[in-house]
Amino acid sequence: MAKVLLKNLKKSYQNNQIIKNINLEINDGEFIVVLGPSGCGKSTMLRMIAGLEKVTEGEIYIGQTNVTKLEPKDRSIAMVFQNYALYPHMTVYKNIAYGLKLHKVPKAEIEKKVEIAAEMLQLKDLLQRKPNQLSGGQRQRVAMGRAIVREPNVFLFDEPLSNLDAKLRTQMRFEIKNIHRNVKTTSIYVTHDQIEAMTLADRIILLNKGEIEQIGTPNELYESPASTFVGGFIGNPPMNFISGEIANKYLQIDSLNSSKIAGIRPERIQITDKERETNKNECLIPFNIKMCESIGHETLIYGNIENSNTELIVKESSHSFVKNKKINLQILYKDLHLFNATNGKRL
Amino acid sequence: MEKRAIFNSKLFPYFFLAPQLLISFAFFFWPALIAIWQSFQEEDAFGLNTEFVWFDNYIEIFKDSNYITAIIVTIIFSISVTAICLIFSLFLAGLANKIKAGKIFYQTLIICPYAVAPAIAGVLWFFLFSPSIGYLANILIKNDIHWNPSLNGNHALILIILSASWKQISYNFLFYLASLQSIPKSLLEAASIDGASPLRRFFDIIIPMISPTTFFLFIMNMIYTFFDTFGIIYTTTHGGPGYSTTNLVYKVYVDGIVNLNLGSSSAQSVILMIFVSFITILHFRFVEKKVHY
Ligand SMILES: Nc1ncnc2c1ncn2[C@@H]1O[C@H](COP(=O)(O)OP(=O)(O)O)[C@@H](O)[C@H]1O
Ligand SMILES: [Mg+2]
Repeated sequence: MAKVLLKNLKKSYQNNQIIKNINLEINDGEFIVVLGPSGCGKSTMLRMIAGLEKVTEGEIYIGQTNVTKLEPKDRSIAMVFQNYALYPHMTVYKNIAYGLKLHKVPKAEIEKKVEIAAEMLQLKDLLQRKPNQLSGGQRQRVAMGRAIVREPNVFLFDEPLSNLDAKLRTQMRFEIKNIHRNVKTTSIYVTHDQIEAMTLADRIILLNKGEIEQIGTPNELYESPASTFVGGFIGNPPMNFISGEIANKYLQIDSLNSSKIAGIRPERIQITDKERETNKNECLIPFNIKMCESIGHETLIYGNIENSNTELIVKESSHSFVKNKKINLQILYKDLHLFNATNGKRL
Repeated sequence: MEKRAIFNSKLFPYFFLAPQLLISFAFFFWPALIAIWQSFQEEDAFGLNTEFVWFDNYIEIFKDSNYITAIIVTIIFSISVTAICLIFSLFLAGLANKIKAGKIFYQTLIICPYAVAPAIAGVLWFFLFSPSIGYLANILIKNDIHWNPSLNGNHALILIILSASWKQISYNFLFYLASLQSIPKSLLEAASIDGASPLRRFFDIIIPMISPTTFFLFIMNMIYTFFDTFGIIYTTTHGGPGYSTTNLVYKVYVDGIVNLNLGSSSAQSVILMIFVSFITILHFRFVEKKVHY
């Protein structure tokens, strides 16, 4: 159990700065998800915390210890890799026990700990198998078991579920959450999947091009994105953006001009009749439908604002509107997010 | 859907196999059969009379103290060369796997000896270690080591062990490098997080992961030292001084071509044939059983 502290953390390969000045304090027992698009430096950041990658500049603290220059084995961490990285020549039992053996834990104690972990992860009947005799989900569990038995101060996960099929992924997500609830070890979990991030995280760190775009609870990121990047990354489909001029014209907000961008979530837009009285909390936008996609319980409507090339996506739970090509969208002012047009930051 | 081509004629397959069978027969089976036939015969010194003598040649061989010496020389030679090749090439491959700059150059350099013919390799090392003109021999002699492979049997044996190893390291290196490169990096990282020192990682992860390669190379090196080192011995020591560097294959040559004792020479070849068949079977058994990671 420990806090993790990153101070002015930087990483460059040759002259290419991959991680740009990251400052972060992770609380004891917290489940942190590092989210971001592919190539933004998530793995690099995690591997620096693990000690697998040299730190170019800055410091890393785990608990009270400055671990910046320590070997991985001296950092009291355990890591779950994307490809599981199980030792193929060892049985499941030996895979899980290997770290304990290296730390000279007495044999009887190793047996007890492995048994407890195997119980927790439903691996009891598989202990004598080799990794190549296991399914993807079982391998994933062994990798988790290997991390748990060591009782480290920090768990590190690098996209641990991305090699599993959708159903198994949901199930393992649930199990990871459960395990964290039981052992309460500080966890840093890297993923590019926002569903994983939203469901697992106490706090999400959204990374973009090696910089922190926003830190906050899943709800904070969804409800008040700190920038257009966050709005566009969180939510499926992503937030709609309307340039200031267009917004000014249709939303009748005087303060909106070309230096601003308005954002609205697809699921917050309502479809209404063509002609209607509006009250002071809402506005209507004329909209041309180009295409509708039904995904069972809901429908995605693609189209553009009349007389402009601003494309919007609307998420609806009914099918009635589909026949009409020209409709009105109802937007509540309280659902609008305003951003600075030049740097994308929230206003 | 059936993807194989199906031929109705029973003769057709044999037509396709014929070239392979013909070559195998003409260059492998026929000579082997002759060797087996000859190993049961004794010819007089002038080649005028041959007599069928059953297993006399075989019995004679094992009474010959030179043959026992050749077995011992072969064992020392093979084990030494195999050990040197495996250890040294793994070391070089480990380095080649680490470095970043000049990788291609370094790898090419190490592979070069493999392109040198055994006889030339022998000559090369003969000159390097020749007491009067050899560069390496000079260094030894300057350091008060009375180096003389043409008089000292142990020195001669060391010389052919070095030349044979030098040539075979390239081959081992290539396989080890490929094998090392196929170990996922995350395995070693996982081990280092688990608390393994570099030495532990080497023994607990790398050695087991490359063990199929090691076994393959062990067999290949054995076959190499048994059968392919004739050229090296011929050009460096001629099996001498005395019988100190005469291994089993060289003795086949000496007894057959130099001493013209064809019966004994053939019997020795047959023994070697049995040995190589045994190794090959062992190899295939192992390869079949081995789990592939
Ligand atoms: N060893 C390396 N040498 C040079 N560039 C690297 C190296 N490792 C990663 N990078 C670069 O760093 C960036 C971030 O990589 P990574 O942290 O793996 O991203 P991700 O967020 O997908 O995990 C990528 O652009 C990648 O090309
Ligand atoms: Mg990654």
